[in-house]
Amino acid sequence: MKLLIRILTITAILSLFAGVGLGFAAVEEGTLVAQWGLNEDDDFKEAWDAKGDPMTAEGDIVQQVSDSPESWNRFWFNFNDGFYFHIFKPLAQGYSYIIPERPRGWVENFFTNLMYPVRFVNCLLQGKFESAGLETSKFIANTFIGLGGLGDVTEGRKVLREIPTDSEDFGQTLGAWGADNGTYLVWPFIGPSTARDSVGLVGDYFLTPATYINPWYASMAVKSYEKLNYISLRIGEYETLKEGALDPYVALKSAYLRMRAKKVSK
Amino acid sequence: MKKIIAIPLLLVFLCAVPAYGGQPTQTLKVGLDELLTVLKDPQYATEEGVSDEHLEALRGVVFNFFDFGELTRRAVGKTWTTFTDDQRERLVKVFTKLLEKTYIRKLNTQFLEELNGFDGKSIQYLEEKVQGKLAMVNTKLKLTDKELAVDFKLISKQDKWWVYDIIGEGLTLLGIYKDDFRSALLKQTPDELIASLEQRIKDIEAGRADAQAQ
Repeated sequence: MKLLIRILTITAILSLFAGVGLGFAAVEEGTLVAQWGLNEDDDFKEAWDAKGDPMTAEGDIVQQVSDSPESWNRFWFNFNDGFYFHIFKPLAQGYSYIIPERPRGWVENFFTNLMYPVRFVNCLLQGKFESAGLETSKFIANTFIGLGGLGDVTEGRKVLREIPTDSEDFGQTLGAWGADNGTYLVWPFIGPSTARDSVGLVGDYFLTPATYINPWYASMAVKSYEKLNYISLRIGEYETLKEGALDPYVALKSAYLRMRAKKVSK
Repeated sequence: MKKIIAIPLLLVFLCAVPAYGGQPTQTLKVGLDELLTVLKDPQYATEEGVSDEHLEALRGVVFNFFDFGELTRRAVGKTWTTFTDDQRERLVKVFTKLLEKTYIRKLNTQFLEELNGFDGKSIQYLEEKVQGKLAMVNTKLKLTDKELAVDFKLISKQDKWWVYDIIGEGLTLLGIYKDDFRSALLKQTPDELIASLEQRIKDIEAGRADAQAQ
């Protein structure tokens, strides 16, 4: 979900490149139609999918994933939407009014660094030994030089050789092993997921250090704070996606499934 | 005698082959460079979203390399063949306006300052694939401190390449709207689809007015 929102922003910014396009005032109606070449061919085929692979017969990822519990999903989608706008967003706005952006960035680095076990184990499970090694060196550097992970001292450093690190999680591992998404599922508070990614979330839960804080409500508080901090840095991103869509439920589902498919393929 | 023929021929070949990348990459590079120039033009600096003049200038540039009609046509898919010319035109128009309304407000001074470290050199053109009249160009953007894999899909029309889709980390602009439109068109007629897009724009305008009042 975290990355999803970040990527949505990116897409939003990119769409801006597209969105600012096309002043229709400047276009004569004739040219527009000529440009489509409507009648000469009605070809809608794509040569490649979003990953850059040649199109397969199975079609688009979103068409492959069933949404059988749609009314359940829509119910929780609306619940999460309301929760975000009425509770989380005002809280995050208040929080970011008090705490400036930079310290909030440090908090985020801290939590990202803390999630190292999840990334490490899932790199290993997918046989990505070099990535696992790089995650480890990042973790050590950020923990000991970056004040316990508050600073990200490795970001933007020159590398001798590119080793991809892509915040692996157990859902991606299952995908890499060949598991299908299963049904699309929306969970309260967690948001969009699939049957496969839900199993992944359970696996990652046990690798998340904050899970082991006692008592349970302290653990919950830490995780909620992490989420609050995260949202405070990204207010407006979900709003943009929602505004631009005819049916925000469909747009969020589409974005989630596409983003996950790309991550699994990496 | 042979030389006399060979030299002009060689010259023709040299001119025909672009120095760097293929035609799609060239088109994209020229387009993005121009777009960045206009985006960062200090004369349009503003605190409250984009000004009308800036918007007009941006449109002028983007329209040279981004094919909005193609994006809309593909987002609608096969149902497009049942649209009348008038419906097609109105849909493209209203869809463009929606994208402007949704994303344009991000264009303010703060956003542009973040873009300042971002210039033509921050875009790396990696790979280009061409198949018939379709092409895909992979790039790496360094918008902020993090690198992003961004791919562009292009289509060739009348000997010119046009961008019609932007893909950031697997999220495609076209793909998301394809899903959105497809699901809407299951329940709605083309005219209803256009009407609901118009309603969306009105909602955004109303929401924006509220935000300013606060």
